[in-house]
Amino acid sequence: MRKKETLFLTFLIFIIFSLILFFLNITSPLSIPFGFLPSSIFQNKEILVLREENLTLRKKLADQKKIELENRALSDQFATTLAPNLNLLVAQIIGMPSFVPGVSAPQYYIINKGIKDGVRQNYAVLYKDNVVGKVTIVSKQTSKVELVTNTASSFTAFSFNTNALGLVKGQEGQDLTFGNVLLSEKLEVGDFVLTTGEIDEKNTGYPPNLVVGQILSVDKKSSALFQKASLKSKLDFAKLSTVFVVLGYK
Amino acid sequence: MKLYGSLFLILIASFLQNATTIPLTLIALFLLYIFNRQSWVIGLAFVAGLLLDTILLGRLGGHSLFFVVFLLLVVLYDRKFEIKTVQFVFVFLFVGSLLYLFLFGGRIAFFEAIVSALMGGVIYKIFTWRSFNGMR
Repeated sequence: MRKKETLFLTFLIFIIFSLILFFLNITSPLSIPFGFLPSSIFQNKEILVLREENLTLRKKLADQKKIELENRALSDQFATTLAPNLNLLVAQIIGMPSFVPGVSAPQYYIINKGIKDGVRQNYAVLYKDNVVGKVTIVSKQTSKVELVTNTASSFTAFSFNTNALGLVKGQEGQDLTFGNVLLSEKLEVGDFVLTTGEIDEKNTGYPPNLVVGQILSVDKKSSALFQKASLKSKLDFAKLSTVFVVLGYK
Repeated sequence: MKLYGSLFLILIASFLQNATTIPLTLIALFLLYIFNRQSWVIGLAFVAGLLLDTILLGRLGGHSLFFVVFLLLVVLYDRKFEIKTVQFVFVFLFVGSLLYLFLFGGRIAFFEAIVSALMGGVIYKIFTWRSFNGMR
């Protein structure tokens, strides 16, 4: 009987000790010095499995987001009405050489489509119904696109409301100028400027009626030969991730 | 000698437990009590629980509490019924493993509980067969 009493007393003591330790909420002393160890020597197998699963799911989430953005760009593009008969190739922007956020604006894009996808030099690149630029260099897998905001870019265009013809040139930053407009023509602030079209026999060049930008201000001096306007594209070139290369007409 | 041997056994079981979902330490402690029925097994259960919590980087006291309470239930059952039977070993280990895996693994693991019970039963049978042959 005494032995049984001692046994129960021993149990009681150890249960109390365990309860005290448990409610003190002390974690394993090994977690501090060995917490950096990635191996399963000190870590529960289930925690490792859950960590792996977590990493895999995070990657899947990131991939899904990318597909969602691409899908949105595609549906936006094919919902536009200004250029319904163009044969378009979707391309991802994989590089913006010499672009530094807050310091310089992008002048070029590198896209993930090249000769093997049917891209050729001077093919136009657009996004929705806006002109983005022109392919200048093509390699097997990638292409370099000169943006309309590039200082070397120039092409003919017209104002939508007043039908004034002129030349669009890229400026520093993301601005454009619409110059070489005759003084007799009328330019309105807020009016849109569209491409006149420069397609040649090889299907290269800007298609007509693509939006270049909106007139912000007009510079008209009676002493000058021509008048000009400053334009702003509707696109934020620094934030684009998907563009479309015009392969030709359907 | 018996104590050191048991300590070593518990240490091995605790380390091995990290590599598997089978509660090896629980099986070792249970069988130790079945064959010894001494109060030092309770102390060993407490220490084994602390060791397991330390290795698994868990909260100290959790495993100790479970092992000590589990052995207490075995003792209470022992007061009324015979515990040195393979049926008792199997059933108690099955229920104990199921509860252990539910509390510390967060899931109802029938298969692992059955494997634990079978392991315990086989080890018990081996030891009783050896001691029976030894007596002869």
